Amino acid sequence: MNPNEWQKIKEIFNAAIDLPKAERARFLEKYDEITIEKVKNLLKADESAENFIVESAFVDVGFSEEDKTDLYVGKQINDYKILKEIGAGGMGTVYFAVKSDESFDKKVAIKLIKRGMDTNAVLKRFVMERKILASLENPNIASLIDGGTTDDGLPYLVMEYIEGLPINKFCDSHQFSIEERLELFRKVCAAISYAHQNLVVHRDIKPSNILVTADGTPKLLDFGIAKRLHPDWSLETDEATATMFRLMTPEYASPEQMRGLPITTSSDVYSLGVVLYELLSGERPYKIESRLPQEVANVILTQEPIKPSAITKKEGETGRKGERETKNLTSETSLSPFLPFSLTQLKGDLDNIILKALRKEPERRYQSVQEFSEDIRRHLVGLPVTAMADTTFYRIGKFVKRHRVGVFAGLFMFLSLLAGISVAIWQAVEARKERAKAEQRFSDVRKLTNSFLFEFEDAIKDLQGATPAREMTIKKALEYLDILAREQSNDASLQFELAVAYSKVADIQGSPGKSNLGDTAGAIASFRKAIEILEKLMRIEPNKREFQMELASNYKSLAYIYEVTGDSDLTFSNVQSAQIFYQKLVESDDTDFTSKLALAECYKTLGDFTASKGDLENALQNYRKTLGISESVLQFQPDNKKAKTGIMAASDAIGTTLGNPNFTNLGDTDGALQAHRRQLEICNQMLAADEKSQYLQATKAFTLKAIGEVQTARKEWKDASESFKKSLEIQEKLVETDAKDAYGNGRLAYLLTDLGEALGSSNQFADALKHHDRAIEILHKLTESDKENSALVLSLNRAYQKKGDTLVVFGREEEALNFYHKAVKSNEEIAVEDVENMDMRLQLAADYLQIARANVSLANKTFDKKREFWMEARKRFVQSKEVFLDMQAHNLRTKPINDSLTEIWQEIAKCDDALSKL
Amino acid sequence: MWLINQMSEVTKLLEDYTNGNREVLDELLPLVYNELRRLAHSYLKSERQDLTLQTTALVHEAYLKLIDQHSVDFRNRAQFFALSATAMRRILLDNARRHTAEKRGSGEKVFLEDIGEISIKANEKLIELDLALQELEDFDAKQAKIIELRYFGGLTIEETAEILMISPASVKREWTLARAWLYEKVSDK
Repeated sequence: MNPNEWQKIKEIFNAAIDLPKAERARFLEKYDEITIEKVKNLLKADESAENFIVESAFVDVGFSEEDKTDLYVGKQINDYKILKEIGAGGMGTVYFAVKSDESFDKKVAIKLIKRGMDTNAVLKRFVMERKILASLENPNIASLIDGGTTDDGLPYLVMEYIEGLPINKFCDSHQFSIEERLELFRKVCAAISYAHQNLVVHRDIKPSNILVTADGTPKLLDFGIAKRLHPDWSLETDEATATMFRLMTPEYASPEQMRGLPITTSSDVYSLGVVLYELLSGERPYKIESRLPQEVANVILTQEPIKPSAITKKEGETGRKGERETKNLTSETSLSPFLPFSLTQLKGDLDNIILKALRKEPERRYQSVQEFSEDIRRHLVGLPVTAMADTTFYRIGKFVKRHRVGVFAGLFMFLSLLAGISVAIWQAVEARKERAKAEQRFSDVRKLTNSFLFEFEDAIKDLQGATPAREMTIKKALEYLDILAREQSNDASLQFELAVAYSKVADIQGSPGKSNLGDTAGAIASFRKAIEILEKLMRIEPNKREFQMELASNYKSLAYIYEVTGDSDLTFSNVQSAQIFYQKLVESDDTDFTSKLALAECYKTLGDFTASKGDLENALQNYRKTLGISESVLQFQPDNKKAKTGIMAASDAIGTTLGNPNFTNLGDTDGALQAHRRQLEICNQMLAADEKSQYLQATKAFTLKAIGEVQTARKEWKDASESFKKSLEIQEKLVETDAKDAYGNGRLAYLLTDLGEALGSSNQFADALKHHDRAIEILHKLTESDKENSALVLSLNRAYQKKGDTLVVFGREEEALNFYHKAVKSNEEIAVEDVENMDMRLQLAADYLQIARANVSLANKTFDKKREFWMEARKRFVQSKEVFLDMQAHNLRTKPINDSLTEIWQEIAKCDDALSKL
Repeated sequence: MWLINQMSEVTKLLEDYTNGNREVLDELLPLVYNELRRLAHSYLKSERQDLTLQTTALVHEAYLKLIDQHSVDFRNRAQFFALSATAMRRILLDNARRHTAEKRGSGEKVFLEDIGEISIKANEKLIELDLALQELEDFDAKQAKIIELRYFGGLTIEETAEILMISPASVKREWTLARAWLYEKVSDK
């Protein structure tokens, strides 16, 4: 059924059903026979369907208990015979299986995704686990043997089968001494450390994931929520933090995991600390009375663990956990029955080592698992350990916190490297005594820091070879700032200064578009720190413009970084925050043009985001806001360049969204042309004042090209050719100035393709082919040298397709098909890799459609091969339909897509008709 | 595996989803799916008598369980019910496929379930209906959605109207025609 036909039937049906039964037949008379038949059948069905799907499905079908016997047990998955289930989590099940094609049975563990849980997110995590396991080869990590997909399409992993006990049970059943436990634990550390060196964080370390085999080898299991770190050893990137937040085991999770903050290797140090605590004391570090998530989180975030040596046991339960939380603990995680040593033996070093691993603040823990393990080794051989009880420094820190002024003085000393920290602290104490003097010094320090960070940095930033010096400046300043920020001062103006400093530091570290040190992760961290301070300030003075402005600008900069690194969700959330604050600023001061234009920019980014999600209507609304704001600013400030740029950017986006045939669009070419003409007008105005600007030249070329493309959609081939020629003239000059500029050449080739199409359609065959061939040649070269660049590959495929189109216009379908097939093959490959790219889908759908059409022409021309061509045409129409439907399923329900679908349905009917007559 | 702070997480995901972040659906659907399935099981064990109200009650209970009522607005609620209908559809179809597959796999083995008479036929019919519904989706997505919300989600005409932001009268109209079409489709076979 096609939607239009259905619409018609719907109208007639609805009219008919309102009539008394007797009158229906007469009412239907005026329609054609087929329609009458269909509507009559539906009316009849309606009468008999009285009891059909009246109850809900749940009632109709019922619902059975999940089977106790698993579907897979006893079955074969490829080479493996599944024997029993050995574990199940929320997402997957682990089975024990054997591979029996050889003379002996090889035991393996198979992890399989649960039916119904095979969503993209779960599948992605599964793929990630496989990749991670494949990259880790270590005798203490359960290895990956194989992987694949079951017959019904569920992916699975085959892993080394470990026969062993969880580490705590193993130690208890072997009555291991403290030293033996520590030695074994150090092997586990070595395995984790190995993973860390390969940039993998485990994130779910607990005894049940550390099995020890009969010969005493520990094996690390379950990298199911493990995470690959970026080479900078920090910051989550792609995955929603919420996911891991949900999946971890709370008893072993670090405070930062509890808070949903970025995870580093330090989180594994913490979890290892919990394991060691348990291994040596038989208890968990916290007394958790409740199973309520909030309360568990609260305990882990705030409660200091009891020293292991100070745990008091009730009589008769040496090392045994009381009644309080056994209910939810399975046997493998329940705690040790008794220990062959006294807990008082843990006093001193071991207490300190464990508690250091368990510190709430990652930076106060061991900095690596290796360091942790090394401290244990030192203890084992009788060397002094680095872990100290929370005494000297910590206490001084706390003292210092209470006497901020003096500390600044001390920090100044530290920063200027004139004296050691002890002197500083001594001075701090002195400062307390001499408050007035200290305050004077405090203000000096503040001035000096500012000058150090900004004036000094400004002075050296353009010097060649100054990067190491700049880096050092920044690093030193950051150390200083970090400590200052931790002081949580109530002095708002100082805190504000700090925030500004952080944001400045972030700029220097890695704000795109400015000269920077290329440290993106550092920049993100610094922007976040600035935001954190500002948000605190905002809570005190929510309406202070200065704060709002700085906060908005920080969010916007952060969004920009994420935009450049391609993290669209984070771009979105940050730009949304920026937008909220700019909105407030604009509302309270109508003449704040800077904020207005920043707001306009935010809307543009929001529009881009929604457009990338396929919601064109919404995107358009955002773009219109950008345009509206920019135009209004221009009214007051006719020379404001930013306003003009805003208009151009918005008009371009509006034009593209409304009617550029190369992108998913809303099919309003009138509106599109109007927008692009405004864009061109502004561009010409700006060029008049600044003729030489390469940027403006490029924008003009780009705008003319866009106009030509919309004209193409309107089939105004002559006008389109003219627009493309004008654009080409500028583009050629731009490329001449920099022949190696791949981006410029790519644009040139795209343009040549456009022009080729327009010329071909206005009957200038030879000229058209010339342009097509040149485009293909350029793109060939470019893709050869940059194979990873999918935008270039897409351009090349488009060039093939358009050349095919021109050939078809001149009746050379057979040749055209060659080019179409080239394009379609490559596009199909990309489609598999990038399922979310709707513009690429559009291209693919167009490929299929063109192949189908060419086959229709061929079918009409030939006498002996009609059947083959019609069949092929039909197949391709169907393929095209599938892609369009898929786009609709992604919420792209635009007019051009609907029109294409209607056409395709008609074409398929024609094919069927033709085939039936053969 | 233990679900920490599930309520606020689902609430947050749902908000994101309502605000246009379609990617979170992958996170959200399994959570709703699991909760509904869990509730469905517990319903079967306890109050087997009162089946009629169950789907609606199930979805409402899942909603109370998963969503933080203080921080949720009307749009989220509508989205949640729509999602639940989709999840219920998946649950029942997974269930149906498992049963029909078992029938084929194990010869004449008859499954007597505690719900009373589980008819494999009913399950096969459900699979057929689902296929027909997929076809309907192709040319009238709105009608298909109405069927899903009402038949799988157990929602009333008024609730369906609220979610789709159309009038109850048009829900009723569309429902009538869609049902007739589906009936014709599945009884053809």
